[in-house]
Amino acid sequence: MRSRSRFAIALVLATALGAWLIWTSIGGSLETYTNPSGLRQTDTSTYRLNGMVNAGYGSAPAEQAQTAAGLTFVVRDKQNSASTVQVKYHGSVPDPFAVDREIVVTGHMQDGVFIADRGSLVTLCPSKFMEKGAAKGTAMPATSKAVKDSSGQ
Amino acid sequence: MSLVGRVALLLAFAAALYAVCAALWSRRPGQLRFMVSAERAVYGMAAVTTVAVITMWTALLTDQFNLADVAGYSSRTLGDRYKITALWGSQAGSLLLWTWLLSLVSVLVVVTNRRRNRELMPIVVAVLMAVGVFFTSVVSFITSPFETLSPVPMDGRGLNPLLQNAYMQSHPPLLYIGYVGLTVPFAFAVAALVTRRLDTAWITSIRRWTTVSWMFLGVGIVLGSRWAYEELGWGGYWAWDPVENAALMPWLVATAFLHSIMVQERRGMLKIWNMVLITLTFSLALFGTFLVRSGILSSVHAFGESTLGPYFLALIVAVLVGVFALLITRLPLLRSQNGLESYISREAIFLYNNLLLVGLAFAVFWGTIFPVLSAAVRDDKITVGQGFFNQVAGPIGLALLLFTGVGPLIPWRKASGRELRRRFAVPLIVAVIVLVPSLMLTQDGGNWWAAVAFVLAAFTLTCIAGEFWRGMAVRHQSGGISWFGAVGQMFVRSRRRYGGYIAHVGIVLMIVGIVSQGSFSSQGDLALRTGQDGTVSGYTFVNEGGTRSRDPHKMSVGVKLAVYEGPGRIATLEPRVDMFTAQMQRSTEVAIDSTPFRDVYVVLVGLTPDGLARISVFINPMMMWIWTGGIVIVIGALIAVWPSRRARAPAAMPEGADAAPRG
Repeated sequence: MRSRSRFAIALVLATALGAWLIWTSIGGSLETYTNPSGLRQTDTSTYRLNGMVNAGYGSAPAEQAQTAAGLTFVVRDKQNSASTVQVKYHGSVPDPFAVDREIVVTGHMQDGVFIADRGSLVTLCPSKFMEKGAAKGTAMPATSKAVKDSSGQ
Repeated sequence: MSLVGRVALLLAFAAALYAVCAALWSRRPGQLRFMVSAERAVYGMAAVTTVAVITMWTALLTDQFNLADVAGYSSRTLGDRYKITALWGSQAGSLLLWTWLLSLVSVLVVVTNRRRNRELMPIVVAVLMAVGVFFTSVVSFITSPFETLSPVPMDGRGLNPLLQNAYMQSHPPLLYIGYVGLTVPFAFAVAALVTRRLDTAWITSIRRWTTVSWMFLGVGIVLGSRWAYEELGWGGYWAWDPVENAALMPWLVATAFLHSIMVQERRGMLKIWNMVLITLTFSLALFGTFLVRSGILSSVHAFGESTLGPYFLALIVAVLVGVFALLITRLPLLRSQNGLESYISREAIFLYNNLLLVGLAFAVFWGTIFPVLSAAVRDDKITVGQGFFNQVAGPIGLALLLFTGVGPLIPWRKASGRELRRRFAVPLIVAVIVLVPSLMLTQDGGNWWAAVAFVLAAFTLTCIAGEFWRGMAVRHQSGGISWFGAVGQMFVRSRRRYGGYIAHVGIVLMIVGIVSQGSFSSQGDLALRTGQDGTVSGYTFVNEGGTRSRDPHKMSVGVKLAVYEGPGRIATLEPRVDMFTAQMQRSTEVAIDSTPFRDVYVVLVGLTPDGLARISVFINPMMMWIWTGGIVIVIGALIAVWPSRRARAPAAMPEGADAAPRG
């Protein structure tokens, strides 16, 4: 019985140690997931910004992102397309990056511009497992929802 | 086409449903013949699901663009081998693949258990086919791979170029074999609970299944990482993305299960724990699928929001509640036959390793769903950065590495101090010897914990080598056989034990690779005109001219780079960027020069018309160790499960009756 209580104590200690590890680690790495409407100009904490890429960033974005000046592009809100923010980015640009693609980028606000962390740009791949309406300019003639209705399911 | 496929899937649904009912009914007195009927229904379900898959493949190969999934994920110009793999490009198609694999696995279970486990089999078949009912109803009624389009498009949208490579051809099916295979041990666990046959018979039956599924899941994960490394062009291979975590979590818990079932077989302990582990493994496999389909988390893979989430969630809840209820009612039967006698014993080490693995899985789970929780509790959606995962996985991984070395050397029940000193003397000496160069290596800028990792790796490898040495010596001296013959005999007589050690070697290699890349990689960008050179971390790159080419599918630009290390030319690399005309999709083709000690990884970012090439260079030390470690783990797992002549003896006979303690 004595060994059983000792075992319980050891287990509690191990769990406490694990919880402490998780707690201290999580402290430094929290980032608020937001969209252009949710960004506050004065807040300089780290955000993960989600939105759609606007046209007008010029040609060869991957090369721009490697220059000292960096790649500057505008991200608009998915729901409210009037709400936008300018993003300044250095580092590798994923291949699917293009106008009207959905992206996530980590960084912070500085003088009204979202300064992205180096290499933090991620594109959300639109072609895989798409169920909702097809993106503009693709060969999909109808949304699969409409298809479902017409096929009598 | 559509009709054939739909009818086949409906028949599969009916067969699975019938198999569940017949299997359960056969447990009533005098109704045993219904079990034969249920088993035939399993064969039938597999046959019609195969018809559905072949129908889909035919449609893909013959460009039937009236099917939405063919139009959405294939095109006339797509190569035939990618048309085959386009099956799992779509959501419905990947669920069809899952269903098909489940039906084949079920057939295998029925065939291999014709004369065994007759008491367990009705429940096993019922559980497998209940999962089959779920998946066939999903692909029949919710998201069918045979949806039709009207009007019929002239051409398909094609497969995402990122998915057009060998890794993406093999990674999803291998991962799915792992997921689906783990359904089998779960089904046996439920059968043991229901029939109250809670001895080790069920564990003996699923040991191989678990090891093989675990291996496939692991290979799937490694190939996925390799794909990310070679195709995405960011120099890394793992980003703690929700979809990656979704595959890692069941693998971690399955690893814990593989170890803790040995404690139950050997000492009759941890019975409840094993039930919990296998249920968790299966639930996490489902959770992974749920995570990927539900769209509740943002991920690089972003499979789009689909309507499937609630169905998967319902199944997970049903599994957890069902097993919990069974466990509660069977608690008295699950009492341990033995208590823990010492904190330094094989079973204790297995317990620590289990707690660490499950703890790590829990931390990953917590970090993965944190955004969802925070969004539910507060308005903000708070995500957890990669830093969290690395900080948690680092120390836990190192502790696991230590136990990998220590565990096999510690005897069951309890260890004597003298025995421990004798066995650990050499590994400790080796660890001290390795300490000095490791510390020197990590002095400049590296992390101190990389030194800890190298020391632990050397310690663990020496421990494993010692086990091989002792095994050989015992056989050589007592059996009077040659050293060479002794090695052969070890692998023949104690496959599971020595196969396990080889898998451990693979894990050590992998951790060394992961730690080296994480601590000592470097990166630099260069902009070079033809004839110019630039240097990154001691490697000099000379632009030897750009290339441009064009074919009906794509335009390519590339650059020829000579790589020098000091004065010597070590490689010529030709990174490329392809522009696929169909989708106007850019595809970076990285160039890698690999040696056992470092990868020189070059990405062509762009080539201007006047010949300025912008390149990104990554120097990743010891990457090859990660991939080699993966191969070694597979070899170890295969040795462990390879059927031996003795395996044909009745399953009740305990394995490893030879004198050596098993690991």
